[in-house]
Amino acid sequence: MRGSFRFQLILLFILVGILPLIAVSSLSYFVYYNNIVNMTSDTASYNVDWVANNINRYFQNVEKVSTIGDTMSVNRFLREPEATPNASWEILTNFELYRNSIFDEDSIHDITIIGLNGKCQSERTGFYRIETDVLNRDPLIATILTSDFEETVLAPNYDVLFRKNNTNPRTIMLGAIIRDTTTLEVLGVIIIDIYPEKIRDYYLEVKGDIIGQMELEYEPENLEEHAENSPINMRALRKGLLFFREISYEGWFLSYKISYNEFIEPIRGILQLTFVILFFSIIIIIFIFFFISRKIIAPLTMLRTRMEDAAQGDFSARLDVATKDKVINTLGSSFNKMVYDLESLMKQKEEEHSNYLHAHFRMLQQQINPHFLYNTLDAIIWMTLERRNEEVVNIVESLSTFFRLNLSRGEVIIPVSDAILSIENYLSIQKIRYADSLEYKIDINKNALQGKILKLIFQPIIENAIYHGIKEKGSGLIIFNGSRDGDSLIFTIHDNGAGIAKEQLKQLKSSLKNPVLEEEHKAGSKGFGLRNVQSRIRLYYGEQYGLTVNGEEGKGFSVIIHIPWMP
Amino acid sequence: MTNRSFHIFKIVILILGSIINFPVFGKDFVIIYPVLHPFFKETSIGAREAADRFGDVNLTITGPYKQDPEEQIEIFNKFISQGVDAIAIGPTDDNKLIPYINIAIEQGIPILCIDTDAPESKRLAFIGTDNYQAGVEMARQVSMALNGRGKVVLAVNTMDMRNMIQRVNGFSSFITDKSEIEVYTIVEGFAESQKIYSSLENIISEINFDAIVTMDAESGPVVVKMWKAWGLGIPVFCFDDRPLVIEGIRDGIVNVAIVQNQYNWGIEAVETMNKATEGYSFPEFIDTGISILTKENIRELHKE
Repeated sequence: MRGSFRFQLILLFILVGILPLIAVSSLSYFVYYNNIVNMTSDTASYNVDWVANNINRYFQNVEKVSTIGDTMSVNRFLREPEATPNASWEILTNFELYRNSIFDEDSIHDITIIGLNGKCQSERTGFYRIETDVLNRDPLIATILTSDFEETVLAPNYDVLFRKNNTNPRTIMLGAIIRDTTTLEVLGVIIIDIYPEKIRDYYLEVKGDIIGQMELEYEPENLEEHAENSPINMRALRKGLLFFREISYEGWFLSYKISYNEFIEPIRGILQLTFVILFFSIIIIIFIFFFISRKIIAPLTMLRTRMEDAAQGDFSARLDVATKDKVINTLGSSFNKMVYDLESLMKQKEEEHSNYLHAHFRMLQQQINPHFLYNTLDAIIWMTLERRNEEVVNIVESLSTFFRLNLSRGEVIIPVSDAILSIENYLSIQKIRYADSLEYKIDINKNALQGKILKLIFQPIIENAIYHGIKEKGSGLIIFNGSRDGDSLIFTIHDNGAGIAKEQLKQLKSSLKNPVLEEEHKAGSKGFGLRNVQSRIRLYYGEQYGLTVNGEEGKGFSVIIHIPWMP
Repeated sequence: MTNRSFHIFKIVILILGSIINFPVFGKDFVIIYPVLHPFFKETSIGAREAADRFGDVNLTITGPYKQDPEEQIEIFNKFISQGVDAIAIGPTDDNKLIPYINIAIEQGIPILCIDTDAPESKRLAFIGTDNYQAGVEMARQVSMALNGRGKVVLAVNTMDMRNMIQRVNGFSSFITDKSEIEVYTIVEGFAESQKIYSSLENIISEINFDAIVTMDAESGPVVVKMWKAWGLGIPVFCFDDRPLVIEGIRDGIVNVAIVQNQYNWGIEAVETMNKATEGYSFPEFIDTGISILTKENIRELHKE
């Protein structure tokens, strides 16, 4: 319970502290994210535009190569069926001049002029011939020849057939038709092999370091997913951004891919910072929690503990209120006052109760004596009248001893030996009164004699045996036994007198179970003495101790006294 | 300013210069090429790097624009009269240059030969290729490619220069001694590539031969370009690493190119001139070696 209270509180604290932080962080993260995406998109769209424009310009520049086709040497080369090395030489010289005139000649791998008559002049591999059917089957040459007037074709790396050897590197090819300068008759084609990555490298180098990847692509795969009419197409892909920019050749696009990781780099810091702040916030919250816990929860917990103690009867519990908090302070002092009041009340009540018990006890005790004293005094009178002087002396002596022992200097508890001695005196008095009709036998174990016992326990029981047992029958024997049994003292008083009827025994047993002595029970009535003893034993020793009775009509009656051993 | 006070001024500046480590008047070294040809670009790079390392070297690199022994002598004498500290020269015609080299040596100016030698002169050392051996190596490569038989045409820009003569001699001696190859003719350009073109044009149309061998930086590119124009389809062997030759190796036109180490010529020239002025000893022939480029090793030796 204690743990869970604290746990709930700390959980609440953390939630209250962390949730707004998480909310603010994620909000700012998304705001930043959107800004970054927008910024990246803007920059990227600018960059891709820039590069695309430059690539267009580059190709415009490269296209000037078709002017080579307009020279006389090319015309001669393509018109004359036999080899024309001088024309070839001039063409090669023109290629050189052309290379020197354009901006980045490194991007051009080779320039080839292919005549419809099968004559080919390559810048790199020189002069060669191809078969006419190879010429007709070549996909690139077919594409160029079907192109519009003065149009230039840019083709991806076709499996072309016109080459002298097939060890060409991966190039894209720019092609144009060569016509006779005067008649405009189609004579052949000119094809320029371009390294696409060199164009890209060159322009990216000029542009400087930009993130992402640019690529010249022919009919790119996911182009259909993009709006046709938009000049620059952008789509936020799951993995990043993808742009396409059409360049001046049909089917060709400059693609620009920026992966998520590349543009997210700047806001990764924000994410990390958020986690650091979260971590420290939790630590601070825990610190604050422990601080507040000491100030508020500890006194509250103590209050509860003390209340529980008080509820279990420990009224000595006090709250040590040393906090500056007004509420806790008031709570504490109120509790203390309440417990103090309760304690005083309880003490008062206990005192009253003990006073009552004492009074009751004394009353019970006092009920015993007179009634025996009257009888004995009657007997003394009676014996004096009969001038049985010696017997009168004995009886008065015994009476004196009996009372001395019973008064016992006002003590409630007396040694068992004194109690037995007192009973012996009592019996000897009764024996004088009843002469031969009363016999008795006392047999108390030595170990029992050393204990202590409430005074006036045995006398009422023996009196009961005499008056209701032996006297009624005429004569009889009383057997008084006693011994110690561990923590208990057991005494048995048995008479073989008139006994007790079953009904009466039942009544007696039930009255002993609840031996409340009420006003209507008069002293001397049947069972009065037993109930008196039972009441005192229970008052003094506790409910578990007391008398057990048994008997049968005409056969006798016996009482077992069970009290605790008191040394 | 009198000559004497100029010298005092020069000494003061030198001291100041050495204190602030800034060579105002260091050693004046001169490199004179046979001709200002792009072939020597690597030499200039090596020489300037070496000069920068020394710090106190003023390096002048020059030469005639056209292959012309007279003009080269004129340039040479101009520097001698200026009183430079050392000269490295590639004699266009070593015989004509000998007396001037000797005069300079007598004046106490160290003279070195680079690229091509003038052994009859009193020049202190020759830095370059063992040209005779390079010719032999070329012959060995040709003989290997043609299996020791066939007819070849030799193209040389000019036979005036000693290094060319040495290469052709080395080539011829190996070819005659160790193979059955016939050297059909030696085409000479007389320092004009157009002449190589026209001479070769005639030969190509007249006879069939099995290979063309070029012996210098000038004729190699011409032959490669002619090969392309004619679609010759026969092996070409070249000397020196001109771009057209290197590309020709990549494209399978040039079989073998024997390449000199021009870059080291520059470094060795400056370092040896420095040794000569400081009085250290050095060998008379500093062989910078050759490399043999083929289609197989071109990727490693010559990055694209």
